[in-house]
Amino acid sequence: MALNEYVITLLSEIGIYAIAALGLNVTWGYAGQVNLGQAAFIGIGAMTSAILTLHYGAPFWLALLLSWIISMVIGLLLGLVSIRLRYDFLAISTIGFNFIVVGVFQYHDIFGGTVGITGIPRPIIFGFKLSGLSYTILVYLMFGLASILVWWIRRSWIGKAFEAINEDEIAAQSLGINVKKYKVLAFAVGTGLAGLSGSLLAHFKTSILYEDFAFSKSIEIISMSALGGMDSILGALVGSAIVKLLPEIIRPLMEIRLAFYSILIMLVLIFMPEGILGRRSVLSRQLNSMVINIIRHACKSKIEGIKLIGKDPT
Amino acid sequence: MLTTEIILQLFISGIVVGAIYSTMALGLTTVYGMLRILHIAHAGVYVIGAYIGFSVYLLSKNILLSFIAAAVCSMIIGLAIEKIIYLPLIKRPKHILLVISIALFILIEETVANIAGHHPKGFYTNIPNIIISLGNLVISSYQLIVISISYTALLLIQIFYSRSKIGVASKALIQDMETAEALGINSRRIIDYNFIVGSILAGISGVLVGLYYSNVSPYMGDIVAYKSLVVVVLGGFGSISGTIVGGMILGICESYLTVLFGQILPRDAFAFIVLILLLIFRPQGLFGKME
Repeated sequence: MALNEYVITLLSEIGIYAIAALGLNVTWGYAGQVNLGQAAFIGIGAMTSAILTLHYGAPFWLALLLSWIISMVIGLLLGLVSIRLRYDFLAISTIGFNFIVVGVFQYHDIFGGTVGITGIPRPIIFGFKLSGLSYTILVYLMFGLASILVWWIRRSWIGKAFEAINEDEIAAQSLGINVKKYKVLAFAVGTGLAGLSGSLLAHFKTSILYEDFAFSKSIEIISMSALGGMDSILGALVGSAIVKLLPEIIRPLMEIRLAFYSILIMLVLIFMPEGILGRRSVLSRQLNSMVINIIRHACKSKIEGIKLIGKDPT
Repeated sequence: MLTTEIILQLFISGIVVGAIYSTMALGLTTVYGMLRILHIAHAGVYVIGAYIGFSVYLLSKNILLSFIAAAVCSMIIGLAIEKIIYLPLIKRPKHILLVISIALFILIEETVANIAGHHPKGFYTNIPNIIISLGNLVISSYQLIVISISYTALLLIQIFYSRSKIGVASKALIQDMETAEALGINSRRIIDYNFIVGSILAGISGVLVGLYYSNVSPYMGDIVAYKSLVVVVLGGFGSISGTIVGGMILGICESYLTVLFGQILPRDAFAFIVLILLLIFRPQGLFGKME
C-alpha cells in the first residue's frame, strides 16, 4: 500500500506541474513571450485557493475557478507591462515579479507568512472526499481539459497569430495582427493555467509555504517545458514526468537536484533546442518519417496487390 | 521618526552597499553592451571569488593574498564562461542564452554548495572592527574598507575606460560593434579583456561582501545576480559611469525604502519594484538615451 501511495503522490505531482508547464508552453513556446516567473503564478493560484476555502469556506470548484481567473488577471497586467519591453528585459522583469510575489507571501500573515498556510481542506465533490487515487484522476482530468483548451487555441486563429508573432513580430503586425492584444492574451492564458495548477497543488499538499513558489521552482518548470518541447502539448507531461521521476529513480540525484536541472536545461537548449516532442525535434521528425514510411509501404503493397490482381494469377 | 542623523547614517550604509553593487554590475554592463547577453552567471563568478578569497585567507591569514587569489580565479572562470559557453552560442536567440546563463549560475552555486557545504561559513579576519564616530555619525572600519577598495577600483576602471587604448576600443564596441570592427578593432580580443576586467571586479566584490557581512554562503549570489541587472538598467545599458552612479543610487534608495516600508516588503523586493517601474516608464534606463 505504501508503494501505491508513493506512486499516486508522484503521479499527482507530475500532472499538477505539467499543467503549469503547459501554460508556459503557450506563453513562451507558441507566442514567444518569455516568462521566467511561472512559479509566482502557481503561488498566486495556490494562495487564492487556500485562502478562499480556509477563511471563506468557499467550495473547491469555486476556489479553483477563482484562482484560475485571478492568476489570469494578474498575468494580464504583467502582459500589459510586457508589451513595452524588449525581449530580454521582459525576462528580467518576470524574474523580478517572482521575487516580489514571494516577498509579499513571506511578509504578510494572510499568506501564511514564514510558517505557511496549513490545513487546506481536500476537495469534496457530491459528498465524496477526494484523496489518493481519486485526486490523481481529478488532476489528470484537469490536465485533459487544459490540453483541450490549448489544442483549441493552437488550431484557432489565435494560435496562428501567436505563431506569426513568434516568427516575426514586425511581419505579423504588417499583416494586420494586433500584436499587443495577442501578446497579452498569451500571457493571460499561460498564467491562468499556472494558477489552476497552483490551486490543485494547494489542495493536494494541504499546506503551502512561500518557498514553494521561489524562483528555483520557475527554473524547474522551465526545464520541464524545454525538455518536453516548448511547442508541444504532450511535451509538457513528458517533461514534467522526466524532471520529477529522474531524481526518484536515481536517488543520489536528490542531493544535487538543482544542479541536475541546470545541467539538463543547458544540454537541452544547446543540443536539442526543440526538446523531445517539439514539432521540429529529432524524435518528432523520426516519428513522422516512420509514419510516412509505413504508409508508403502499405500503399506500395496495396498497389502491388492491385497489380497482382490485374495480372493473370498463374 | 527620521532625524537628520538617521538620514545621514542610512546614507552611509547605502553608499557602502551601493559601492558593492557598482563593482559587481560593471562586468555585466560591459558584457551586455558588447554581446547583448544578460550575464547572470557573473554572480557565479562572484560566489567563486568569495569562496577562493575565504579559503586562501584561512590558509595564509593574509588578506591581500586572498584578494589576489580571488581576482585570478574569477578571471579564469569568467574567461572560461566566455570562451566555452557564450562565444560558440552567440548566434542563438538572446532569451535562450539568458536561460543558459541562469542555468550556469545555478550549476556554479550548487557545485560550490556541494564542495564547501550548504551552510554559510563565518569569515573572520584579524582586521579590527573599530567604530569611528564623526559627531553623531558612526562608521565602522569594515565599511571604510569596502568604500575605499571598491571606489578605488571603480576610479581605476573609469580611468582605464576613458584613457587606455583598450578602454576606448571597448567603448567603441559597446556603441557600435560592426563599425568598430570595420575600423580595425579586434573585437574578440577586446571582449576578452572586458570579461577579464569584469570578472576580476566580481571576484573582488565577492571577497568584500564576505568581509563586510563576515560570512560566505553558496547562495550569497542569489539576489545579487538579478539585482545587479537593476543597476545595469539604471545605468542605461552599457554606460560605465552610469553603472557606477546607478549602483550608488540603488544602494541609497534601498536603505531608505527598507526603513520606511520594511514591514510591508522584504528589502530585496524594492530593487525589483524599482526595476519594473523603470522599465515601464523609462525603458532606455535612467541615464540612457533613446535608441
